[in-house]
Amino acid sequence: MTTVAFKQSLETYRGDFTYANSEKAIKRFPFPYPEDQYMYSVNMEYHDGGEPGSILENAFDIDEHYLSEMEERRIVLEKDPNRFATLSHMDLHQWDLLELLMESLSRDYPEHFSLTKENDNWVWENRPLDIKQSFIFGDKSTLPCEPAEYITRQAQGDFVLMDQRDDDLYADTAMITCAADWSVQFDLGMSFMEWHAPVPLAHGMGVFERALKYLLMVRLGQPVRRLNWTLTINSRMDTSPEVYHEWGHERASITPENVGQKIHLRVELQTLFRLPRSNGMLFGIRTYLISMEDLCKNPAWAKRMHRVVKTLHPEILDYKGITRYHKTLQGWLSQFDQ
Amino acid sequence: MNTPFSYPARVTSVNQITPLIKHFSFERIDGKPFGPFSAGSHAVVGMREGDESYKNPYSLVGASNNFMRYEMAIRLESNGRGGSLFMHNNVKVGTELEIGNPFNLFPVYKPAKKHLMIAGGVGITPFMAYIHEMNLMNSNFELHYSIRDFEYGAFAKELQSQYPKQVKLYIQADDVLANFNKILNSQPLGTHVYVCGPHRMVGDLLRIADELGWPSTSVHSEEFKAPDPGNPFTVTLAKSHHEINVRARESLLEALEHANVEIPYSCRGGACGFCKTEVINGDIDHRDYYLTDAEKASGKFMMPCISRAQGDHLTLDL
Repeated sequence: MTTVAFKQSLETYRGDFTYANSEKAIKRFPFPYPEDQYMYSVNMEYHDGGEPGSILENAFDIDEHYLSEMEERRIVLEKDPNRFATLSHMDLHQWDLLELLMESLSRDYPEHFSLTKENDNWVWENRPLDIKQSFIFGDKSTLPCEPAEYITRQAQGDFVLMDQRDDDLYADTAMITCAADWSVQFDLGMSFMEWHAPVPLAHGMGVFERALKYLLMVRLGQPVRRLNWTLTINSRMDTSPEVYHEWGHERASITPENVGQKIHLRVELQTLFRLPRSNGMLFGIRTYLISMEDLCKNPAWAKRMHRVVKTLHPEILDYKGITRYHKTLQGWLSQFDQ
Repeated sequence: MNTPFSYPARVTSVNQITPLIKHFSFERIDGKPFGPFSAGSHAVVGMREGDESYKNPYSLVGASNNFMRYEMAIRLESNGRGGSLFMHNNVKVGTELEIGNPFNLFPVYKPAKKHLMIAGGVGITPFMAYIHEMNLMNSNFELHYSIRDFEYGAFAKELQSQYPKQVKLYIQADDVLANFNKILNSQPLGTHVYVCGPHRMVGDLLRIADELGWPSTSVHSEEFKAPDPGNPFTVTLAKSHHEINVRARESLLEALEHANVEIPYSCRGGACGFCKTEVINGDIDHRDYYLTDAEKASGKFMMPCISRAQGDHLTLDL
């Protein structure tokens, strides 16, 4: 059991960007680089828990930003309801996701969430969001919206449900409000290779063939995980192509003076769960943001961050949108690696 | 947090449903539910008696009481290597066994507009779970079920009475045979066909579907192939410097397990890919459906659940 305290005054991921990490949140930040140089790899491992208090402890991590992130999701969906999308053959997958999230959250954070079941009559309680919902499991008409939308409005991170068929995984349902520059409407229904087509270098290395083969064999009760990362200007969760006009230009705003506050390392804890009823897969993308200033409070992280940024392959710089402020960032980081 | 690979379980009921098929139900010894599974899944039943142990995969035909119980229908294979004999002769209410986590090699193709199931004999088992899902999802389905004689057809009576429009029985004893050509020729666009049954029947269906121009992605089959016996051989494990004898009636995977070498597995019939093992030396008699032709030709990999040595010795990278 984990006790999590939520920040009660809502932080913003837009406008005045009041999002900030506490000392505790900085300490548990998932620093993603195992080496001084970064390259793509099939860096997957079993998602079977971690140190108490770490982001890996529970199946789905809930942290101090919970209320703020759920409000951010509500804002994005209000402006653009299409950030949740699902195809018609995905009903079983959606119920799988609802069940997995409700069971995991109520088990791991019982002070915040509870679930009671009497056969198919379920009662879900989310105390932080003041929700109490009675519904019939399997009967959509007893919920206010699609089952996957319903539950992912109450869980941090983005969620993709993949249908497994033809020895492939298709992204057929998705709740995406904190995308690192990809569009749910564009990618909906794509196969694994189509979805990953824009990633440079990794295809030639055979990374995606191996990753797909591995994922097709993920078993029930044995989820896996990996970390992925990029850089984002400001603590902006919604960097999707749909709103590129709101954030694209911010890359031009970086100066040596504002690097520490403006540039954020954005790390995704990606988890993959085999879903029992549908035989599909859940792809969870839980995003963590930290400013360079906060990151560099840890001398080992600051030093490694400098070396990684300094040696990044030009194609990765371009793909992750770093090229424009690369030199400025590298110059600022060099103070920690003398 | 990861659930164990298998659960200690006990048998809660045994029913002889045809002269050759027994229906079993199991519950976990710790009193917890097994949990949901997808239609078409199998689970491995681990049996042990004295020195003998068997691990056989069987389709899950259903679950009851909110997944507290798993159900399987198992045919007696009197020429088999012992697993089904053990289930039929030794297993009673209260017998303790191991039930593995389900894994699905024969899933329902979710976007299909219509599901056409072709079953023969005990090949009906995965379709029992299919029909449950089709009902739940309000899907369009049809089942063509060939049996030797009415009394030999597991679930035949209840299927016929519950789904008189969707289920068609073909009883060999009455000289009624399924005409695959006719069945496949009269299907609407968007139909997916699933076949499970004896080797020859599956082969016929696949051939006819191909001749009629069905896209291979719309045709799905499952055959549980038990490992055939072969000549005995010896195996050297290069990393652990072990020597193991593989007897004629056991598979290489079983011999490794008896020597306490743990290898991941699921289907134990050459289809799922879990037990893929690197071979350093020796000619391989490939019998699996998993490795690509190029991998087989390279001689560097084998599936020890079903494949054997061509000669009398192999060296494995274990």
